[in-house]
Amino acid sequence: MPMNRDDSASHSAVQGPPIKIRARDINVYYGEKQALFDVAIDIPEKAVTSFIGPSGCGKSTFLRCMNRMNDTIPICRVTGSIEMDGEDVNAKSIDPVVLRARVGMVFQKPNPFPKSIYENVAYGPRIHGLATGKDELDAIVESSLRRAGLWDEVSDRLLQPGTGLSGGQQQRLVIARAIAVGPEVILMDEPCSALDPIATAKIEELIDELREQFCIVIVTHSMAQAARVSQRTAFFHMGRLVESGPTDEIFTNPRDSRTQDYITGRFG
Amino acid sequence: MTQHTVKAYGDELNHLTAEVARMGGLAEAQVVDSIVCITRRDVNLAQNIIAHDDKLDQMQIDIERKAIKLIALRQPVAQDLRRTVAAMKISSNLERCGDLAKNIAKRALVVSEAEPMTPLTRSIERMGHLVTGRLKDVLDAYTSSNVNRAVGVWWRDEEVDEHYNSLFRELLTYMMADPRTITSCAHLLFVAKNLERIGDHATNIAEIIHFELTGEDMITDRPKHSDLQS
Repeated sequence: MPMNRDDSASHSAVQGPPIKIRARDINVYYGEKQALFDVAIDIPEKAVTSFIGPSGCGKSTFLRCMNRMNDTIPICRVTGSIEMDGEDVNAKSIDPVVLRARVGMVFQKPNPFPKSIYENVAYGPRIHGLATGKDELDAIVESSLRRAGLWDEVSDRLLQPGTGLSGGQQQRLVIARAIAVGPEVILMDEPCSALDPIATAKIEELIDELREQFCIVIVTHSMAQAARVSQRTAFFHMGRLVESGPTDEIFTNPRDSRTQDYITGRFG
Repeated sequence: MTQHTVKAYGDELNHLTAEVARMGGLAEAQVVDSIVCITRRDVNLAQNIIAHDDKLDQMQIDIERKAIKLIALRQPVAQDLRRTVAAMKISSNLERCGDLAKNIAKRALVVSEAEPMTPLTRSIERMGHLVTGRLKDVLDAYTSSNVNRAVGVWWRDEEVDEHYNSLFRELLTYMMADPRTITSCAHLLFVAKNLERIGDHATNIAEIIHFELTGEDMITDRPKHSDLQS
């Protein structure tokens, strides 16, 4: 049974921000191989939750369960329930395309479309029919780029290719693209692992600003990054959620010896 | 505890702890000697203690620098971080103990010039034994990472306070009875106060060890009198 710091407190008492995503008994199989075992976690709204753990521990697999990205892998099977605002994301009535607009995702390597900066951001709102005219679309593009902290750097070259930007700028472009469709949750799978420290700091600053509006989940291999950007941390090991709780507690006084060994660099 | 994947990091942490233990040994010896120079009126020993205090100061600076370097270069977290911070805090408590021992030694030089007051120095000696015993216990708790032993020291703080209060009354009685003893008694009063403060440092160290080993503060309320009325 994973340790949750909040278990010790009264369950009925509502503490901190409300829960956005509630996952229970999540098991994931890739063919015969089981990748996740009985994962249960609550992810709060308007906060950053980081998933840490060694490679292959299942943190990315779990992240991908939240917007049904695992649907795209034929041999992958997911059991258990993931509720977003009380609604089961795996229900038949849920359209995965709509779900993925509500639950945006940012990957390790920036992956802008081979189109202009403007089109990268405008693409989502256009296909989801979020803008009625050019003016409205322009407004969405500008506000998304502003919220992603990129507007000042690209406003004079919106029609140039997105792929021509630097790595850090591309990553912020991809975040702007995710924001443009008005998501509720943003999933980030090692968003800074391909960036230099300055670009990383900019993304971290951006994450800190975005958490006022979104529920953010970030998978990171950098313990220092998890400590810097997240309010809650969950530690995964060998497909199990070992421990989750407030980040400051996980990094000063973890309860499980496996968490302690991992974050202090004692895993053989 | 499992080994660090980066062995040099583990070695640095162990080295830091060993340095603190070594400093503890020296601080303890200084305190023990300071009581001896009061009871035996040993001027040479007192001068020795005064001369040795620089060493403790230097060790504290050294431990602090090593801990800061470790934080900057290794970014310790969890128990490693608590251990590093504990080393810094304990070393500063030990350095204070050293200062107090030095102060006792300086007073011993003055007291040695006056007439001996054997019953009073006996009381100082008893209190001194109690305080050095606590300091030794807490340092043993540190080197053996024994949280129960640290908690034991923490609980026994009251005994030192009681000794101090009774010595205080004893000194007042002497001073009232024979004003010629006032100078020596005033010095002995400071000696007693210094010992009481060394006891407080031992208590602080016990609390630091508790936090280092468990990650939790000691939250139990220890009964505390401050009976300063004579």
